[in-house]
Amino acid sequence: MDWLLVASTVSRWVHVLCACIVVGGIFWMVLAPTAAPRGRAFKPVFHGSILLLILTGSFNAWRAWGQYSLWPGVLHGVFGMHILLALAAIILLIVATAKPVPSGRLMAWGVALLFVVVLLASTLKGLRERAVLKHSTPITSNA
Amino acid sequence: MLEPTLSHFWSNLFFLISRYLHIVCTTLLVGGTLFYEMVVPIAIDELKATQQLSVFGRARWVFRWIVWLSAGVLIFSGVVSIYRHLTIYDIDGAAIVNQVSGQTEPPTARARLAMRSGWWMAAHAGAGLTAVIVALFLTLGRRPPEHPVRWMRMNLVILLVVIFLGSATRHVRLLVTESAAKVGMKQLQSAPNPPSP
Ligand code: HEM
Ligand code: HEM
Repeated sequence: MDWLLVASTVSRWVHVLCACIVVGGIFWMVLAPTAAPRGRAFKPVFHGSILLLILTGSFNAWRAWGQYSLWPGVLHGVFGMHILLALAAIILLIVATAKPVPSGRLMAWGVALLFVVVLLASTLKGLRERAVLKHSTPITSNA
Repeated sequence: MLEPTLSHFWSNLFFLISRYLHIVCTTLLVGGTLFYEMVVPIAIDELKATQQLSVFGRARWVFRWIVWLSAGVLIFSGVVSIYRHLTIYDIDGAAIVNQVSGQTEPPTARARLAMRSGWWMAAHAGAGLTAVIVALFLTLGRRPPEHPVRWMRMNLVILLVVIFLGSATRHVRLLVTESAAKVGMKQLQSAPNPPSP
């Protein structure tokens, strides 16, 4: 069994899952402000998900780096934006949820930024797949 | 030359938006389920029983709209993804991967099953539909079902499995696509048009 392939699948799964928890969880907190102050139970899940996002994101990037280098100008740029905006959103949301009564405005900005982060990730994924397809050299000629 | 480029641009943009919406709706469904299961019960804990029902009912009304919209978009964008990758889903990946790695033995039945991305896609779509139906069931009708938190917990587990199957589908599909490109398969002509880096 190719363990690296299994690890990549699991890492991607955890990354998407944690993205769902962070984006969806904060989105619902913004939508239901009366419940937000009681969101203490959600806090450890939120912080754990952020940590896992950074860890699995780094692993995914390490695995995909060779493919990003197939089209470096564009793929490195989109990847850089994905990380930069992700970190900005993370800092904003940690600040927003640090107080006993979370700041609704900051959370709303944070979640809007997160939707852009997800858009950049989807773009990165699509462009990477296309770059891989473009650069796969047929081996039939020497078969 | 301009026409095909333009049409590729629009179709690629459409597929990108569709994939984005698929993920966004997934976040809304997972986040909403988690929020309902973890935050709402604590938030209403200190209220009287009648107030609890009214808060739960109001939150459920908002949840309903978002769940219904997400369900529709998930199914639509899922079908768009299936249409886009249909030719790859149908390829016997195990045989091609063997060919690329130079193995002469025929693949085992297990390898053939695991390396056909269509099976993973079918499992993902089936489990996805189940999760969507449970979420719709939870928001249907005037009253919440009995033990709503227990239902939410169960659906959260289904959603985790759905996301895993989505990731696995994508990995197998990519592996098969790369191998098929290496052996110069004709089916790839209907795959997404590569860019000009
Ligand atoms: C708030 C934080 C973050 C969110 C919400 C987020 C969200 C996402 C999502 C939804 C995807 C999947 C996109 C798709 O399949 O369409 C993704 C992919 C990815 N993310 Fe993140 N992410 C975050 C942080 C990070 C960080 C900190 C890193 C790097 C250290 C990272 C690296 C990656 C990589 C390498 C991919 C794979 C893209 C590809 O397939 O080429 N992410 N991210
Ligand atoms: C209702 C019917 C559904 C259908 C027909 C469907 C279909 C698909 C298809 C075809 C893909 C692309 C797989 C690939 O790249 O080869 C996909 C990806 C995905 N789906 Fe669904 N889906 C459905 C429901 C759901 C639901 C309810 C969820 C939410 C839990 C979900 C979450 C995802 C995720 C997260 C991905 C991205 C996986 C990745 O790239 O890592 N899907 N879906």
